[in-house]
Amino acid sequence: MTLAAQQSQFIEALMSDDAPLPEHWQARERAGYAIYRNAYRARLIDTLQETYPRTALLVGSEAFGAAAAHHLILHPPTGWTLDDAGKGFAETLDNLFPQDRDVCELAWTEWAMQSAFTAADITPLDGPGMVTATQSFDDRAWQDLRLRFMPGLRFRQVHHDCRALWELLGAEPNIAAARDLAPLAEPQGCVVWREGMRATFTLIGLAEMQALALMMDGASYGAACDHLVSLLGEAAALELAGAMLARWLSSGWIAAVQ
Amino acid sequence: MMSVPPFAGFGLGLRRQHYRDFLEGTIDVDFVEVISENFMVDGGKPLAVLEAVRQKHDVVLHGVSLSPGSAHGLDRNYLERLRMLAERIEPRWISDHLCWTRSSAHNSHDLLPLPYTAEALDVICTNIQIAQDHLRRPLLLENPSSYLSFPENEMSEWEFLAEVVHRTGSYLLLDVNNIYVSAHNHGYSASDYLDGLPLDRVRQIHLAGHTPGEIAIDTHDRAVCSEVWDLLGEALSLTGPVAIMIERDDAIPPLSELLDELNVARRIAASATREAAAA
Ligand SMILES: [Fe+2]
Repeated sequence: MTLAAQQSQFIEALMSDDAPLPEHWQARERAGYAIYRNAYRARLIDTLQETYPRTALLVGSEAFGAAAAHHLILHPPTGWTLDDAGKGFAETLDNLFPQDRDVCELAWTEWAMQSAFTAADITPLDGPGMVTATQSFDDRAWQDLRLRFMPGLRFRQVHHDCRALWELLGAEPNIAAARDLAPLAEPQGCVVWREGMRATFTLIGLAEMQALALMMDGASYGAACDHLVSLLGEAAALELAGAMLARWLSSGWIAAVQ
Repeated sequence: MMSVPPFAGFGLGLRRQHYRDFLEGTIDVDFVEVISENFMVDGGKPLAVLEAVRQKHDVVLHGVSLSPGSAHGLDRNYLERLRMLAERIEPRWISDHLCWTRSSAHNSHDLLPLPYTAEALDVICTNIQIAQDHLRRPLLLENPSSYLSFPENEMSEWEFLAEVVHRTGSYLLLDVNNIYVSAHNHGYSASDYLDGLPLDRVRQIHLAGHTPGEIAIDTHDRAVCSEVWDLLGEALSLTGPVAIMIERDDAIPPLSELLDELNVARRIAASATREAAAA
């Protein structure tokens, strides 16, 4: 057997109890191998626990451990960075706890916070920078305005107040209250980004989240405004269009005018 | 290929729990070791902390994901990220382990053992040469703790490691605790291990605690045990002064406790130096 084949077999057997070990191995080799198998699982489950501490509190450690083990079987790590082991865990939880949307939403928030924490260092565009960039704009140019957003900025629709969940599962956790938290009256957008050296998040209205989604996808400000008009009508759309741009700017979500 | 000049000093690992100590205080260490992968990120606080610490201390980069023993070759993206970090931090040297971590499809995130065969020797030497060419510097290779020795072995670990160093021009990071743990697990003599290595190539020594047992495990979660301190004395009498550091990755105590432990290493090193001078 080549070294390549030996190594593939060794790794497959770390990930699955059903994968065979070399037949010529005696008890001694098998006992040694068991250490690697246990270490693999323990390390990765620990990593998920570190990435998702609040989610672990919310679902309880036993359910969390089972979910983490399930995730590792579905998505064994492929890349060199251990941080990636937690990728897609929110989706795994969504499938495991379809009735409890708060679990998936909280996990998504924790993942996005971790990703934002080490996003590239870029200085966001500020108010004066925006004024300079747009001072020669006519109506047409405003319509065509396209923005580049900060690396690490992420959003998704949520049905629970993730700020409240975050607080309840923080330094002095109140797990019962977190589990009893009522859903939001209507869904909102949760936006995660890095502010200076720390990751943070906030909630915005769904219409604004959709405009943000369009513009992060490369749509123009005009197209985003048209979408707001279709949702809210002319007057409310215009008001929101101005307010949201001001908010994105002051929150430090915009990297540059393209 | 450039050489790695010897450097005798005492260091500790930079762990998150001690960021503030290192940023705000004057810490009595000659160098700081960091896990490369933790800083191979785009930006943010970890890199900012490392750059600030670098202003005060010499830094060495210690990796766990190079996977030089992979028959499937190296991850070029990883190598390039490591090169960029090295360019930014200007470490005294870069080290990784005599092991493999990944197949073509999956990553174990563990330091897996190699069979000590001619085939594995060719694989690891080719990979190390590629890595050294890309990084434009020789690497330090660390002997790992292992829990399994392959029936296929054609040579001892020290013969294998000595040959890797000879063929690739790399250097050694001697983990004294790992020698102790592996010698216990595989029933060989730690002194034979030391005697079999080209000790003039040692540039750094690691010390750590392990969990004893029928199979001892390298856990880095407790103080260095007395047998490993003894082995440090023996190693230093053969290597002469080199860089020494203590690894603690779990149950991390206040920094002062690790500094006290480092003072034990200082005393052992001083007495090895005195004995060498007297001899
Ligand atoms: Fe080590």
